[in-house]
Amino acid sequence: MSYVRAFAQPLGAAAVALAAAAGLLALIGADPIAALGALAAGALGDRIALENTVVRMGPLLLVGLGVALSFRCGIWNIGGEGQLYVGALAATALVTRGLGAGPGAVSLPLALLVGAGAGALWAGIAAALRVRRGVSEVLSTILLNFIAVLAVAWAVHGPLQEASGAYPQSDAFPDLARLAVLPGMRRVHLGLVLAAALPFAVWVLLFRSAAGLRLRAVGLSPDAARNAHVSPERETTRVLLISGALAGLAGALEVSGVTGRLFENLASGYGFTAIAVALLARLNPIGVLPAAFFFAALASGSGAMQRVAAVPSVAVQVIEALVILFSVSFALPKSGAR
Amino acid sequence: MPRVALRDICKRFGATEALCGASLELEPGSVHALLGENGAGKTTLVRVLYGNVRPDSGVIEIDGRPVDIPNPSRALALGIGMVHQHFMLVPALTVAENLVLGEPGSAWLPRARLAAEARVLLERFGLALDPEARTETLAVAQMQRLEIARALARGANVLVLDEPTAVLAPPEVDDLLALLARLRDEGKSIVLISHKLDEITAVCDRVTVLRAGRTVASRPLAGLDASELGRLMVGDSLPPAGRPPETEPGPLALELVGARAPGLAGIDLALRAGELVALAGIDGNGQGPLEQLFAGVRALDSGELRVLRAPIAVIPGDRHRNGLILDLSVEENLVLPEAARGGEPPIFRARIVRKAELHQAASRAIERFEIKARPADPARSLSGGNQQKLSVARALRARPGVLVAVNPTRGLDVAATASVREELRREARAGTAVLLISTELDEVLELGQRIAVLFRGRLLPVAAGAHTRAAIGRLMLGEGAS
Amino acid sequence: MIDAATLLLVASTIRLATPLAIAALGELVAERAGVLNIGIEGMMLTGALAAFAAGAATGSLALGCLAGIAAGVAMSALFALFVLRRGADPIVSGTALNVLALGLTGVLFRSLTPPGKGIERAPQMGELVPGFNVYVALALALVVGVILFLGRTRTGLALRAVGERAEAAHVQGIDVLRFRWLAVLFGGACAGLAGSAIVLWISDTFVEGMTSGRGFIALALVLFGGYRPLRIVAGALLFGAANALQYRLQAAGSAIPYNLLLMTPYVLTLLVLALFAGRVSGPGDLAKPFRARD
Repeated sequence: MSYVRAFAQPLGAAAVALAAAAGLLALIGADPIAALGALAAGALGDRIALENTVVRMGPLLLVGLGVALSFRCGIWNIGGEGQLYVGALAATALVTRGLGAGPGAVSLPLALLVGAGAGALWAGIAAALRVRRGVSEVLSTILLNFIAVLAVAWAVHGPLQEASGAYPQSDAFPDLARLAVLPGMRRVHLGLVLAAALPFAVWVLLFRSAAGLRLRAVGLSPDAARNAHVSPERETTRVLLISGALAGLAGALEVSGVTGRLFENLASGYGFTAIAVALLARLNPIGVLPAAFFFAALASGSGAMQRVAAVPSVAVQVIEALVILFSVSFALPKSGAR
Repeated sequence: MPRVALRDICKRFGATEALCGASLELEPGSVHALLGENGAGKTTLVRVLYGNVRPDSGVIEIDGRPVDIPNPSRALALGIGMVHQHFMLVPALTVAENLVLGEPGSAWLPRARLAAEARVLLERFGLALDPEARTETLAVAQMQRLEIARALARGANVLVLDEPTAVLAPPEVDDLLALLARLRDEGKSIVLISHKLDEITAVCDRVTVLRAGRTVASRPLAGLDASELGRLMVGDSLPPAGRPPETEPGPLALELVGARAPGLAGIDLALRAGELVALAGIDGNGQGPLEQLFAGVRALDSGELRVLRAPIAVIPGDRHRNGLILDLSVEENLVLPEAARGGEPPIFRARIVRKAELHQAASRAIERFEIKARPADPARSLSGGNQQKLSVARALRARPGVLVAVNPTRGLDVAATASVREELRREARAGTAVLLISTELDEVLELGQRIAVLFRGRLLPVAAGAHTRAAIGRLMLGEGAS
Repeated sequence: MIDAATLLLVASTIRLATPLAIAALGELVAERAGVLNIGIEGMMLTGALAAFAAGAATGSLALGCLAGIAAGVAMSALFALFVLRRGADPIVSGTALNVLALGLTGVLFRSLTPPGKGIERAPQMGELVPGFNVYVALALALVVGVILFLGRTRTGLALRAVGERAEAAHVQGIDVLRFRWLAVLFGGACAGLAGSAIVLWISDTFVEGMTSGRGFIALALVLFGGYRPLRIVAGALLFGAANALQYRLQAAGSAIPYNLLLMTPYVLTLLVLALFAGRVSGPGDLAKPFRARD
């Protein structure tokens, strides 16, 4: 019944999007088979490629979960990008300027916490504007994205720039403030284990808890929810804060687990990709896992596609957009059903 | 040959068969009643005539010629006009703009020309309305006149009115029926959709009865009385009109003193345990704000609300917008108010749902209130009557000391209506203070031990001996209000 | 006497305000018909690329303009296909359109300008008088046209009804979907025209992502203007002035860091929204899907 449909729709959307993209590639004179083949190899071809893909899953998973939660609450949080950047910025500020040579056991969790908190605060601005001033969160979160990206640019050209002043990037994180890589792996870090466990926790929250019921109720009918004494203002604010925290955490994980320092274009486009992830997963927390994997594969394979088949890596954004469009042209699960 | 004929119309919406074997024939110069309970298919049938719905099978004939009506544009061109239950006027536009909307004419429409065209129409139909007024500021009866005028202005010689008297006070109803009689004399074919038997016998000359999507009778009205009509409508004798519960009022349960808020102009109300008090009134005279006040969603500007026998539970008037969340399951809807409070035992433990307990609670409610559904069914899949019973079940879960029911039987069929009304009586007998707010005067008369009328945000008491349609009807229009 | 510097500032203001005004007026018409188009940003960007490609290839400004408009219309047709035909959510679809535009323009731009070819320049729209040219004339014509159309024509009345309460318009025989399609295409044309102005007037070349949020500012302008054309233009001028001042400060080597200065338009938009958005209520049926039949 709906389980078959639950799988068929996302698979269908992904397939149609890939087919359409292949068509577009052919139109501009590239060889679609070679391009998509290079993409697949770059994403899954060998051990290193797979690790890269898994590493990219991290932020997509976290931000995607946040997007799924907010969409289910009727809140269009398009600000994952900015909230991620702000989280990375805050964590970097703390580690490179705040605690200095603090013991690793303290500064790492603190950095992650501060990152999550900063992301929540950033989303909180949109929440406050919405509740107090009636400003649509669609516009405010998008505008905050631009501001956050510029803030990071300013920081790495200015106060957070590395001591040598050679490049627009922060100092490198000391080893103690870096997330450990899992034994036997080259790049897959501890934070990814946390990220992989979250979808299940979020599922329980959404479908088995009082808080989740309230959130879904507000998303389906704010008026009816209000009559049952659920406060749409409170729930929408909460969900913005939670999704902001998830994105901010993703940012902190990026700088402490993957890149080891802050620079411009840290995680360019992840925010929008996360929206595609959430929609492909049909706003289901468990579904976010395979969806994040799909888009992570696209992203990590895009470099190979550019090298081998001379198709610019931005082409994957076309696939993303097509996936979004095809996913939403069939009704999203409005029901509380899984 | 009849002016309009609908023969053997069938229509299915998904899994529901709304019409099958529905027929209707209209003659010029007649007022034709389309009678049936809520859910019988009356509205669907006229929507076929008006082009809003495409029938799966069946024939539509105008003056003997078969026609296809794919949209309202075509219906209008064929001379069919409709006055909808929820008026199809654009609230933000002015009277003139609404009148002229859709009228063919010059593309260039400066203010002056718009006003001139509107004035012509207003005069032709004797409407004393300000063309510059925003439509949302009009009184309901005026809006109805405007909609009728607009239909006639487009050259309609068939006029369909869908439950037009639901929003009118008794004297306004008389005015409307008189207007319909005049239009009949001018040769128009009028279709009056109603489930109010006395209105039908007052002005109609023919009646077609729909039951479960089928035409079960079509004949002249002469010789048929209300109880015959009732039997045709339901297939059985109508249940006798109920009476207010026979209870002795107990201690004070709720007190409202000098309540003032947008829409409430100073209300004093005292409710005692075991009492059933009914508030009549035309929609828009304070029902909404009062409901919101009791639901805890609106605060008072001044005055006080004292609930002496908590908690207070509300059965909302609009079960789709304010009541149930159709895409959640029956059991989730049932416990939503508890989830709002954070999630208490026994259903919740540490804010997490215990599925077994939830299922059991839902099953108990389903049994007690005879709701035809399973706990995990989405509320959307329930019939209107069952949805309303779920709404009642949810309100009663809290074991309220005060129960406020707003239009609890709106849109329900005869059986569900009787069931819900009996539930309210049962609550009163069990000692709950029950407040009924209803725009359905028959319901108020059937249930109210004490009756008052809401008019412009104030309460006008009705003396014990004056529980009649005539007396209450006058108060609904404000006559006698000091 | 107005000195040269002020004159330059005024001209700069008008130049920066014009594309915003054009895009916002197009969106106004779409929203008055009940369609919320978050994708203007993507439509402007695609228009910019098309104008650049056509203009640089042919050297003709007219062709560049037309190409921009055509690209805007094409993207908006895609939007309408998903939102009006298939009932997809307009916000998600609009966002997808923006991402699509970023990707498409990126791919197409790189294939048009392979490395080693050097930077292509597009022809530039001259100014008759500082601050006045074909684009400004078009914008003025647009304002007058939109005011007259919405307020003084029978069709404009029908369009407003469609946006306020689509069912009521429908039962009067008005074809709701057709009105919405046309309104969306018009909005797309305006966005494409605005995009062409950015490449053929404000800048002289194409850079990926060059619209930088102007589309969202246009959306905010509709709210800021309370859905009134003249107020929208006033808002556009306000933003144009702020933008012009910002560039002036950058050029003058102000002490304010470059990246912070760049934040100006976005912070200003947020401020404007915070002050004005809450009090504005849009057309009654804005962003609500319409189904002609049950």
